Amino acid sequence: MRWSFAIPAAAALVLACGHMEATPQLKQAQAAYDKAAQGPAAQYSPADLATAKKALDQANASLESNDKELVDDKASLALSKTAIADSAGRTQQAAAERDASLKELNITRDQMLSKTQEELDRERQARTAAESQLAQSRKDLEQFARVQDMARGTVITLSGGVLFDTGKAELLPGAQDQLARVASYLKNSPRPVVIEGYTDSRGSAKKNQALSERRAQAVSDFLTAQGVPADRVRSVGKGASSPVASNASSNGRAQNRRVEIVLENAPATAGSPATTDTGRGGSAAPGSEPEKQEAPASPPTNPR
Amino acid sequence: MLRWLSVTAFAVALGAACAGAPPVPAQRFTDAESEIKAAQEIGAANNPQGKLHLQQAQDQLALAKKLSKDDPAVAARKLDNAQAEAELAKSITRETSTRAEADEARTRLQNAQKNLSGTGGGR
Repeated sequence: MRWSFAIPAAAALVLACGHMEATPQLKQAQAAYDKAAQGPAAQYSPADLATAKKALDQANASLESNDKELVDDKASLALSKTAIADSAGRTQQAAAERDASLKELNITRDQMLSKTQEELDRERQARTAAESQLAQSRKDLEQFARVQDMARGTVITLSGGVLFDTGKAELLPGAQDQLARVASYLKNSPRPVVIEGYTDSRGSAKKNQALSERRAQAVSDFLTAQGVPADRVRSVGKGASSPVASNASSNGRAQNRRVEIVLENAPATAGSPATTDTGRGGSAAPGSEPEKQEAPASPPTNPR
Repeated sequence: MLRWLSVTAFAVALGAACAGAPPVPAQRFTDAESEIKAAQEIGAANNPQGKLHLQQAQDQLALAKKLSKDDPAVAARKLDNAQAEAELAKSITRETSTRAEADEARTRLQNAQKNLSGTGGGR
């Protein structure tokens, strides 16, 4: 009989001391917090995460009130605080990534700058070396040839007597050494080359023209065989035109029998092959030196 | 005499119990409104998620104002939630812009590294 009173009394006591179950809102807040605690917030925003935990604890504690609206309000606050911690964590993570990228970017830019500087230095050194080589090569030429800087380019004058026998267009053995050194000089530059053959005024103009063309061509062939690119080289026969000395003396005629190798100022046009220009067409022939005086006509004699 | 004192004390205690929660301090409303304003100023309204939380903050604030007289305890909770929603709107807006900055910095770095590795052969 006494038990029949005790059981309902105990049940009433349990009900009085117990509290309501977690609402869906509170369960959602708990799940969100658990997820956030595993994310970047744990590393980057621990203070915000602690605030969220405190709000969640308060929401759980409010279950004792058995007031659903109170629990949901507290759960909603915990959910917001958790979302703030989560977002702050991602923000800090993004900021760390940004800062790392910017730091790496500065290093990369320094490397690019340094690399560009190194390339410029290398180019400068190469240019200086090439200029030095060209100057040395020119000094070498000046030992056996006349080298002049003129409006159309650098003109190397070789005496015909050294290069050819009288009336011939075959190179003498001694000429080959000199022309090989000329070839070395020409190979140091990318500029186009014009080879002009000249004779003295003895013999017919027609024969002199043909002889000068063959001599220019012989020199051209030798230079290209020595490695001067054929598309940079052009040969021209000038006959007895443009003498540099009087044809009245044997000494003057020897000076007029010559080959001029012109390293032109304009850059070579790629793909234009070695050609032979007859140079015919009067004083306006291509490659003629404007500053030189035309020699007076001389009676035709044997071609030299 | 002692009897009268006991009666008075009981009456005061009963009065306090019947008066309910104290009114919400005006400063609490000012704080929530300031937080909402700060969220608006950093452009939360231009961020889809930020805009959503900004609206919730404004709704909670309006509810708190409505309940402040009759149910100040609930009004205080709604103010807490309004302030937290505004703070969340700010945080999300900041996160979006920081993420965009991080992505941009990474793209710039990748381009620079590509340029650096592509300049190996001289100019």
